[in-house]
Amino acid sequence: MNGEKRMDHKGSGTSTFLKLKGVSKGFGSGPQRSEILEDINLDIREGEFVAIVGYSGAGKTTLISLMAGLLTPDKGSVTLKGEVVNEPSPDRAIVFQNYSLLPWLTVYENVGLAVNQLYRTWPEAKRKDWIEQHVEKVNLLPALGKRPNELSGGMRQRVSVARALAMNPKILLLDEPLSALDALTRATLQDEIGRIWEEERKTVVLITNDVDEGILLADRIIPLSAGPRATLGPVVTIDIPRPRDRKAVNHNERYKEIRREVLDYLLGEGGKKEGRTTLTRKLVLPDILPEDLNRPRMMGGRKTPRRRSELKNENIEVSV
Amino acid sequence: MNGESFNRFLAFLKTVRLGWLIPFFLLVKGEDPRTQLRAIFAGVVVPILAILVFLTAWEISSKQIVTKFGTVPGPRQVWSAWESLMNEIRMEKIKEADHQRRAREKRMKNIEKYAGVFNELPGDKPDFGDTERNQKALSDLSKTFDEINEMLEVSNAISGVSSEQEAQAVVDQFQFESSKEIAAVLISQLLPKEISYRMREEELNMGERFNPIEGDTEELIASKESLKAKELKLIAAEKADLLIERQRLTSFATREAIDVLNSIPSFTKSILGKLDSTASKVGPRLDGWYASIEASEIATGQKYPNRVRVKMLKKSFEYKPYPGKDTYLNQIATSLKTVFFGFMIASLVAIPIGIVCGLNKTVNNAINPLIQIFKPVSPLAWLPIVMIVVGALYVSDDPMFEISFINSAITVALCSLWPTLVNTAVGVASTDKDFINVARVLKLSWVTKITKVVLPASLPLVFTGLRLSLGVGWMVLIAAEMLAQNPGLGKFVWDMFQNGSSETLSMIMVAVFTIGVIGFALDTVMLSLQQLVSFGEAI
Repeated sequence: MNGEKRMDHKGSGTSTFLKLKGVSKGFGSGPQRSEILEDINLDIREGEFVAIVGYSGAGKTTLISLMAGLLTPDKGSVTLKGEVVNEPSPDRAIVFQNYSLLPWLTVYENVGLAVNQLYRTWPEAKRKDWIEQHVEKVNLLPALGKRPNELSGGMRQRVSVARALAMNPKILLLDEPLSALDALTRATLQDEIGRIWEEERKTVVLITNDVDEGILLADRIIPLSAGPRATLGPVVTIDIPRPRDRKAVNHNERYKEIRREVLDYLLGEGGKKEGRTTLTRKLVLPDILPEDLNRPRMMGGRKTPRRRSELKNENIEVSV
Repeated sequence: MNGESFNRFLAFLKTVRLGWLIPFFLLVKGEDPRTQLRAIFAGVVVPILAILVFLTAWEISSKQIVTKFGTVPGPRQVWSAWESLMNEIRMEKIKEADHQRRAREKRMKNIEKYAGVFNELPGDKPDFGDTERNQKALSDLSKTFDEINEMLEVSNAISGVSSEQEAQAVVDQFQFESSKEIAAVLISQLLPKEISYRMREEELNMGERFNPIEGDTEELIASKESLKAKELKLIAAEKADLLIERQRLTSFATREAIDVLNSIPSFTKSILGKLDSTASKVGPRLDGWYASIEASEIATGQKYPNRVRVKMLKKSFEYKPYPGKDTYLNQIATSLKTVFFGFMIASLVAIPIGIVCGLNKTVNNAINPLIQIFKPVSPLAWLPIVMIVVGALYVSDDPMFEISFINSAITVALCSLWPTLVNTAVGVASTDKDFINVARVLKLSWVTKITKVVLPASLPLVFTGLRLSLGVGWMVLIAAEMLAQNPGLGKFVWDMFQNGSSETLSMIMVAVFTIGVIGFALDTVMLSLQQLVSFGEAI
């Protein structure tokens, strides 16, 4: 990695907010040791929306856990406003990929768990207002008394976002918040996250595996190369004016350019890193033919599974 | 009922193991009848058929095995044994009421006899109401008991007669219509069978029909013997049937008697009730009075003239509980109490230790070997240790609990501890890492983290453990009670085994079914609780 590119990560001009300097992280020891991240340098300005895109398993979650303080770096440092981050804090709220809502609490109580913990000194009524205000922000007021298992995946993630916002954090860390959702819900929630960011203007780091999502929402997008020893690629500043319309943006030349730039890195230089996890073993299909469950079963028990190897291949010759 | 609450109701049925009722409700709601009927067939008809097959096989095979207590009882004998246990409960109820009646009569007599003494009782003069009315109520009550006693005697009175006419003559001397009705049923249903049975038995014993006489060929002797054996078998079967029939009619008589007991007019009941409540207030006053008399006698050295009368009066006002014997229901209650007590001890020990084990790997590693070693130990091995240790430690002149109760409960606790402990530890240790991360980000305190996040998250597994524990406890309890002589179901089985009567086997089988049904019910309750704390996640 050369110095010029590293320069690109720095915010231009205004004060640095969250700063990662030479951060490396690995797990395990001895021969099992694997280096996940190496030499990560990143500066995020206050009020900025930064997206980090990368392959699955590249170490994106490790990266955001480092920012949140859930993990501490082996080398280098993470600082927020100059203070070293070495433990989690409500200042750095995180939205997890699989919602992590407590299933025995209602929507209100889930958000309330955070609010009651952080604003103990507030009078009850004020806390209640605060909770409802944030649930309303994600359009979930009607579901206030519902438990997570009564909600769809999209609704659950909204609750998770509401909980994070209610903590009034300095920085909001989104760890692949939408990757467990179907494409349509995903689009709706992307718009909603965009809207909320416009309103709140919080500093946001979005980790995603969807380049389009990153470009649509962020001010800057940074690819993370494939692991192990993943590191950040060149920063691309997204200078497409907001509000960005999902449909219109598709025809925007700049959009296409940014997209190509990021993908080029990921599929080219970034993706080709030595030691990248590739499947070398040949996949062996199980020797069982899938059963057609729509077909009515015969009485008298299920038949043993049919074997692929027992299939008799018929070669039909067709003469023309 | 709207759709959502109906669905919730159906889900509830499933949790309490009444899922087989669902197709009936859907059928009423007008869902596709073919599907529902198929579901009913699978969920209701098939199990019923299986039970019928089981009962038939049991009935047939039971006749083939002859033990020292007679043939192995079939389902009908076991049902009859159950009836006799229920009958015993009714008899106890009647006896208790009779005991109470006697105490009342005695008290009433003393109230009249020592009416003068009451004038000297310090404080207000007790008001026992109108004497004549009280007398009337008491005599009504005693008449009711005359009736009941006669009803219960019917079966004995006509059991020795040799013809229906003779029986009728006995019946004609009865005082009450209700006993005559019972007698009529007995005469029509039981007497002919009893007489015919007695005749056949006599014939077999006295008659020479099967005895070899001179000139009989060997073949003839053999065939006579085989005929005699056949006859004996027939008679044995008839006797068993007769016993069942007699039990049925005895139950009928006691049930009628209970009806008579319950049909005491409410004004009589209210008079007696008022009398009782006044007596319960006067009793302590008499106690106090007598104590002060004794004290003043010692102080002044003067004899109080009415001292003996006050003592007599005081005695007749004392509440003496009916010293009845343990009925089957009492025994079931004792068993349940014991298992719950043991289960509570086990839970109180296992859950906290399990939480600590789940939170801390070191503690878990330290305790794990002990768990693995003690887990498979049988209650029969624990019990002697428990008996000796409890015997040494639990010494009290007026113990709150019977020592046998403590022994059984602690043995149950020792055996049922482990599933809860292990499951709690696993549940706590496997709390979703994201939940822990949420707690970390929020900087929850240690206590809040445990109570708000870790414990609720591990509740489903904790309850799985509790459910297993209760199952183990219930199973262990019977053995523990048997050896510790705790007056529950275990002791019942043991006593039945020891007394070795013709009813032994059927009584034990009744106990087997009772234990099974209660175990099933306990498990269902625990399963429902478990599903309640799982928040829609499948178990």
